[in-house]
Amino acid sequence: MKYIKQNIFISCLTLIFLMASCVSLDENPEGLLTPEGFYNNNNDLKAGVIAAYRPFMEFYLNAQGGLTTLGGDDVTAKEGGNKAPYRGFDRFIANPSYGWLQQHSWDPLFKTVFHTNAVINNYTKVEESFARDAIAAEAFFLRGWAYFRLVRTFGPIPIITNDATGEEPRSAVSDVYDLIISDLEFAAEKLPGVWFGEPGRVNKWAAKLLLAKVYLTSAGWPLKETTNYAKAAELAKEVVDDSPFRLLDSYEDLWREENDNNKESVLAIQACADCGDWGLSNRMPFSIGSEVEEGGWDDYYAEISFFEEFPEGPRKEVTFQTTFSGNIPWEQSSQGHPYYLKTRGFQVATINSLNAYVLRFADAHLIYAEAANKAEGNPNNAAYESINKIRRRAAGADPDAANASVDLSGLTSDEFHEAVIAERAWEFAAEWERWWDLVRNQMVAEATAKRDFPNELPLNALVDVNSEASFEPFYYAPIPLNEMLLRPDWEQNPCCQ
Amino acid sequence: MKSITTTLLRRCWAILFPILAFQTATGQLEISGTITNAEEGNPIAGASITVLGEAIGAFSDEQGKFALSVASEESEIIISYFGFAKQQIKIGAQRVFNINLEPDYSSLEEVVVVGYGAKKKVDITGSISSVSQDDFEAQPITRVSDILQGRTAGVQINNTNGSPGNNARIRIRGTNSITGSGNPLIVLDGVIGASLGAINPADIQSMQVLKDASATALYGSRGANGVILVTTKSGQNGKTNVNFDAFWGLQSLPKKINIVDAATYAGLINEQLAVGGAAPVFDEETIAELEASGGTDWQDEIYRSGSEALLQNYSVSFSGKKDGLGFFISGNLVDNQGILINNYYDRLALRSNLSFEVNERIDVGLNVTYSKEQAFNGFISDLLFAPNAAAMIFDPISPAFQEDGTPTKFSNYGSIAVSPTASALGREDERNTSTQTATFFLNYDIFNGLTYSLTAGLREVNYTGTNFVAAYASTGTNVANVFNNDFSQFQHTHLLQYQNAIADVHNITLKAVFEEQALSSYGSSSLGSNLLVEDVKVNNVGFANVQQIGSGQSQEGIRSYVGRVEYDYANKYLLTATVRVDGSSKFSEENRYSVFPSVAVAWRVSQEDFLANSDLISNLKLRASYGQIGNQGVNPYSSFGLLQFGLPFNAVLDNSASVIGIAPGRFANPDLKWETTTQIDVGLDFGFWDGRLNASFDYYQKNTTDLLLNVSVPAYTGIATELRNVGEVENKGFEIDLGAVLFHTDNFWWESSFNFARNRTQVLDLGGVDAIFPGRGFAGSGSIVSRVEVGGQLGDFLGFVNEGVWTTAEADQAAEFGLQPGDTKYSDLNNDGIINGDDVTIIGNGTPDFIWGLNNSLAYKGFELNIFLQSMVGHDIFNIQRAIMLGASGDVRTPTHGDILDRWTPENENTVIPAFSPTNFQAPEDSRFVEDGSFIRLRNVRLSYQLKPESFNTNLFQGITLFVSGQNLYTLTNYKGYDPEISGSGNSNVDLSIDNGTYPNPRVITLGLSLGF
Repeated sequence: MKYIKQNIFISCLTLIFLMASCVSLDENPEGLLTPEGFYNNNNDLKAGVIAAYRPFMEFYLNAQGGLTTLGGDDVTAKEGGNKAPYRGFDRFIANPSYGWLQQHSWDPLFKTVFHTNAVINNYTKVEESFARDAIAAEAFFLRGWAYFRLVRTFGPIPIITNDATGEEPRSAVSDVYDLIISDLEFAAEKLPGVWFGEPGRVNKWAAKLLLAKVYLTSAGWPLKETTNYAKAAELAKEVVDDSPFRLLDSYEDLWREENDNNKESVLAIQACADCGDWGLSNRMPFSIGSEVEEGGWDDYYAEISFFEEFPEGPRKEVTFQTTFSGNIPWEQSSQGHPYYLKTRGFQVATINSLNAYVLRFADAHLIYAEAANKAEGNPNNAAYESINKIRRRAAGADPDAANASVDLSGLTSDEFHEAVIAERAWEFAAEWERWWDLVRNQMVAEATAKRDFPNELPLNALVDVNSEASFEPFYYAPIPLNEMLLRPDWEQNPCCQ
Repeated sequence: MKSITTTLLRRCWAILFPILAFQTATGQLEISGTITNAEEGNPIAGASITVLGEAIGAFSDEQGKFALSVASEESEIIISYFGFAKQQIKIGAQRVFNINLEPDYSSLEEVVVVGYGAKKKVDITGSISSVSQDDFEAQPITRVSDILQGRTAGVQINNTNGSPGNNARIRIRGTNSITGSGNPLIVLDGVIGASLGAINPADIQSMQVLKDASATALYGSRGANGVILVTTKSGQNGKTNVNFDAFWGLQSLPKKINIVDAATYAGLINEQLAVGGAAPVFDEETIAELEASGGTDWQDEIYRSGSEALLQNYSVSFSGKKDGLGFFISGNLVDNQGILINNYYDRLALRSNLSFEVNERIDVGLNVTYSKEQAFNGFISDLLFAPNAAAMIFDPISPAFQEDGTPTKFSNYGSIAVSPTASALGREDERNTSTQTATFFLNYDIFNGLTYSLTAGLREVNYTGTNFVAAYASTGTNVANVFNNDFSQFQHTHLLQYQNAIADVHNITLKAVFEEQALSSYGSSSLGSNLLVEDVKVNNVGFANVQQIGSGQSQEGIRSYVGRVEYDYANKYLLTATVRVDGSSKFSEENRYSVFPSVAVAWRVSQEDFLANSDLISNLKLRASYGQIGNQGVNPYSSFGLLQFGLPFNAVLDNSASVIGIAPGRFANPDLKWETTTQIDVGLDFGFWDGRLNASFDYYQKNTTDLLLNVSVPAYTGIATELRNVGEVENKGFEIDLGAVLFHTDNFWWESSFNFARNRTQVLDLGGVDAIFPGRGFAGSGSIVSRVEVGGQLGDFLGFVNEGVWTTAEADQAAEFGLQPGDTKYSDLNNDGIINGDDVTIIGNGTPDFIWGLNNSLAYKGFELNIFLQSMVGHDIFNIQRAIMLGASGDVRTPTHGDILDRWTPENENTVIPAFSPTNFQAPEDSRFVEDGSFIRLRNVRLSYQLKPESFNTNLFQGITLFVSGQNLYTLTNYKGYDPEISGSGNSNVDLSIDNGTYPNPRVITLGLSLGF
């Protein structure tokens, strides 16, 4: 009897063992967002696009965004400190191991691609409407923008339009341009002309102007699709004539924080120093301020011969800082170079909210002038008027009134082209444009030859200022080391094999 | 080994209270006797005589005599005395007992906790290190991890940060995982998961460290990093004991770093400017003034010592057992002021362990604890902005305080960080952790040999933090942050055990366990910056102009089944076989359950006839074990695809406000599963001369496969890493434990223990790539310094090979690199004529070749001296702080280290410190900043005195011990930084021994007393 009782007890215990389960092993990730439950309406799509604006904004808000353009003759960097990556591009000895190359020239652009793809591949889940397509068009624009920077910087690069596997090949440059053009065409078609109250969102005119620049660039090195000059001219002309944007009368007004989103600002990064987010503030006053004299970080400053050749006038005064701490002239400053003043809103060693231009209306004029001249074989009147408007303003004159003292006229096509490229150099000095102008026109040797050695850093022994061909291997930046380590099958760019 | 203190304590009691010490008996039979040392024939005073199963007993007096009343002739008495074998005698007809105790130094009969039960040490087949309270009560400690440091072979404990209350980094037999967790599993009184920081060390009865697969596989998917079992005290039969312990520690900075004075610094600035062609900023007059004033010694400003940096610890406990009710009730108060100003750690811990014998078959028990920890200014994540690091790089010209009394904020010349005084005084970072546990036990003796036990444990941890940074201590605006997290854990464990001996030689134990555990947490955070009214601080984040809020939850569950067979034949041949099946919610359904088998065998050679009568060898056991263990060290929901949001995804579209963006994050990964560690262990246990010398050797090899590795994928995919099960890591090593009683006379006793461990962690496979960089960047260093490569070891540093400085004689060679004499000379490893990122290689490793600990206890009459040495040998330290201080980093502009005065000049060519030069290229990742970190540390010296009982005029005290001790009194090392034990990388598995100005461990002089009532 006792034995039976014990047996029953054991049976009960066994039952407890089997039944007493009170813990669930199924996961329910409450509070976390999974892709399946998202991108269901326009608000979701907009949140997705905002995440793509983030790396786009960050790209422009510190000096490292311009890292790979240091080969241009408008900017140089110093020896010492942590500026080796700038020096590397300036001297044509860039190295794939630069952390900044990865962090600032590669990652934010592919992050933009990654974030935009999420919108582009999901927006059709939402019922079709103008509003939906407009948001999708923002994503297309940003993807096109990112690939345009990438293809110019690195040449062949993987085209990612879906979830990447990490095993993609590097696509041909022409294929990348095809993607950029189709993305920007979608954007130009579906974007509104303006987003009321949200000037930071990309608009139709920005898409057309960027597309014009894409065509202009594809007409030069390496694709040399010269038939694209006409397309560039046509689009730029449309922006010049039909868009609501106009030149500001004063070059200086472009760089005042209070003039953010002015009528020349086709597309600008909406920097915000008061948003409690360092990444969204404009750090240029720190980055490109003088370190020893004024507490900046010395990221890059002006090349001496570039400064000296720069035409005198209000534009030059606004562009450069030539005295420091009140009275030290640049020749006697610690680095012995003038510094750039305009892109930091005339401030130093601080963060500010000055918008950073992605595209300004002056570019429409100069793209038109260059492309029309090339497409038609000689400069037409409108082309002259476009470049002359820029020149008049630079000299402090009324941009819209003919002015014999600065206006160009009677040039051959080649002379006109040279004048436009030079004008672009002055107008967009330190706006990270000069390098691309030199590369697509294959003028790197010519520009480099003018450097004021030995006051500038010595060049790579492999380049010869008498030979453009010797610079060609350095047109493309190296693919960042980390990517090469993970993709040993890729071939490194010619600079760094 | 037991401490002599216990022995002396008992001896003294015996002298003072020959009979009173135990509750006087009330039985019917009067017995008496004499206890003598069987070997030397002298009487033993202070031996305890207890009656089995009853709360009565006595001690032997100076002549070895005792007298006692027992209930009946059926009663049994137990005679025990430290260092002698215990005897158990049935009364029967005898009334006078002459008992000869045989010396026995070993603790082989000691029962140790092995997980889901306890076992005699002799019967253990696995590799387990055990520490009991007697081993550590000679050290004034407030942290449980200090109990294990240097005392257990194969357990590496680093106090990587000297901030009070900081948790040590604990690794058992190396590191299995690269990016997964490397922390061992803590099991407190049978409940899995505990924070060692919340436990009062004085509550601990014993700790066991399970190391091999047989011992750890019992914990299945969580045991791979080793298991630490903590058992707290319980009430024992006998008189109610009341103990009060207190100690006071005077702490100080053990070493100062040589930093230039203000005048020298000003001269350095001028010189640097001159090199760049700029005019000096300090004229002669100013420099003379600075010379007179000396400037600011930032180390003196932020460190304090002596009574200002006081450590106080008070513990009280009550324990005993009456009428079947056993109790252990304790309280502990710690106030540990840091050596850094405005920094402390406090703890209040209460415990009540109760057990009750319901009847002869059923015991129940309930352990309840509450602890509250408060840490203040112990956590600053960005080390460059921590006062400790800032004090070494901030310019000595700036005053510590402005004229209005506020700390100086920025330097005009040097560091980009805020000043040490600003960051030390302008922060109020308070972390409160309260922990409540309740553990219920039931043991039911069903019938002969069959028992059922239930353990049900509940643990709640409430974590509340507030952090305020004043505007003057911030590079941006002021910041106020309030965050909290509620964590709760529930576990129920059912153990059914059957034990039987067949034909007296086949001893068999069968165990079956069913266990479930559920964990959940919920947290929220409110961060405000740019407070409208700064004085509001953290008390209303709503005042902030910029606000960020967030919340989150997580839940996980684990269900386990364990079966274990323990068999021995005639106590000679032992076998243990275990299978554990674990199911975890962290993995998708297909990969949810996994099986972890293990087996261990042992041969007690000393039980064989040919050794049974050996005078020399008292114990000899051979052990071998094999098994597989898991590590599920990933976060819940890791197999889900996720979207991301938060600050790094927000953007501004309207020129004034940041709006929320949502980005794709990681891809779904339904294939995720456990890491599996396969371990083989062979061991040998020796005991000589009745255990007067004990030795233990273990050799092991562990291979961890299917590593939960954050695999780097090309960044162009948009994600940097993806968690996958790839790769393999191998740990190999051996351990030696030695314990000996070196002298044993009536008045003098010297015992010594030594342990040694060597472990080598090698990476065998990384899933197809040659190298990965899972480490992090450190402020001051331009790149990630740790590199994990196939064939390499965890903890490798990457950098340039420094060959010194180019000399005048080498000017032509230097010019080929665009350099000049006085510039840094790096090896051009690929001979391409350029020094760049291609010229970096492995320049050091942060793991030690071996570690050892040596503990000595010497007792003479009432005095006891304890000397404890701890050592790590062969690890390199990457001294980033020194690199910054010598100007080799981009983040500081002018060097502050005194050694900069030895920089190259044409007259001083025999140096490795480069000149100020516009052409010099140097990086912090430089072999000259990788230093040998080997050290031997005098971890603890303690001298105690047991007061003579004659000096008490009262019966109140049973024992009084006074002691003075010193911790970290001396460290023998060549390391140039503060402390070769610290590391800024904390608990990382790959960033090891990286010193970025980390808080050094203090030197402590402690006074204390211990009272027994």
